Amino acid sequence: MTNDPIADPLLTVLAGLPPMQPRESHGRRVRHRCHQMLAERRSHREPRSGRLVDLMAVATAALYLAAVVSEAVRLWVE
Amino acid sequence: MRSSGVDRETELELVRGLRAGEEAAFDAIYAAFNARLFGFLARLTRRPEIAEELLEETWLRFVRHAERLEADTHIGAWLFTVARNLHVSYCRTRAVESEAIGGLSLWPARLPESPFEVAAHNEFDRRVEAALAALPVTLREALLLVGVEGLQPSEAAMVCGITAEAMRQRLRRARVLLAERLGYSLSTRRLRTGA
Repeated sequence: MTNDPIADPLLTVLAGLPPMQPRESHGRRVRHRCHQMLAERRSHREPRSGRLVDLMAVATAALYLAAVVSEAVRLWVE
Repeated sequence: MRSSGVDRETELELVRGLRAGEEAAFDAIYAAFNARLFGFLARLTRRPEIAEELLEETWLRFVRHAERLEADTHIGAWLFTVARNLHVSYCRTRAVESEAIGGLSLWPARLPESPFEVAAHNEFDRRVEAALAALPVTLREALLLVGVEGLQPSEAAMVCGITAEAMRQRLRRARVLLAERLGYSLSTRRLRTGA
């Protein structure tokens, strides 16, 4: 065997074999299923970003509430 | 040697797109690899209908795994590894290797131009396909990955989960066996094209 198997004439014969194709109906079905899965992924991802917005709103409200309480306490102590 | 027609930079962009769930990225990858994967599986299984099943599962796993792909994933190696593993699982569940060499139906994507060329090519290709199909599956997959699909031996080793040295040994044995079956002289490096 040569050191570079790619340069081997026998492997060159193999490289010249005609390419094969699955049936067109198979290709259509596979692509359709894969596209569906990708679309589902995207739709799952969107509510997740919505949840992040909700979480940020709650955190902001909590911070505001904490500031109001601490200010009230400060005024009461004075 | 088969080529996916995808350079490394484009490949990395496609991985980024697929991780983001872009259908266009998937379509580009599908167009580049579908026929190659099918040829690999059809020649491994020797049954086009089984090859189609395994091919479908390969793509579905690819998409299922898309979000978790590493940014520097080599798409071809990833796909061929999954396809090859699916074939191994298939062989484990069904003892297909004990069957006689089945009629491997071919759907060539391109045909030679003249009827003479068609006949000559078909006859020679048939001999090569039959010789290939008669090899033990581990040797056949080595030749398919390196000889037909153009993977580097080191990449083929990764796909098969073996060391590069083990892959080189498999290639050496496969080449000797295939040469015997084709009437190929290793010393003169000529193929006897007659029957």
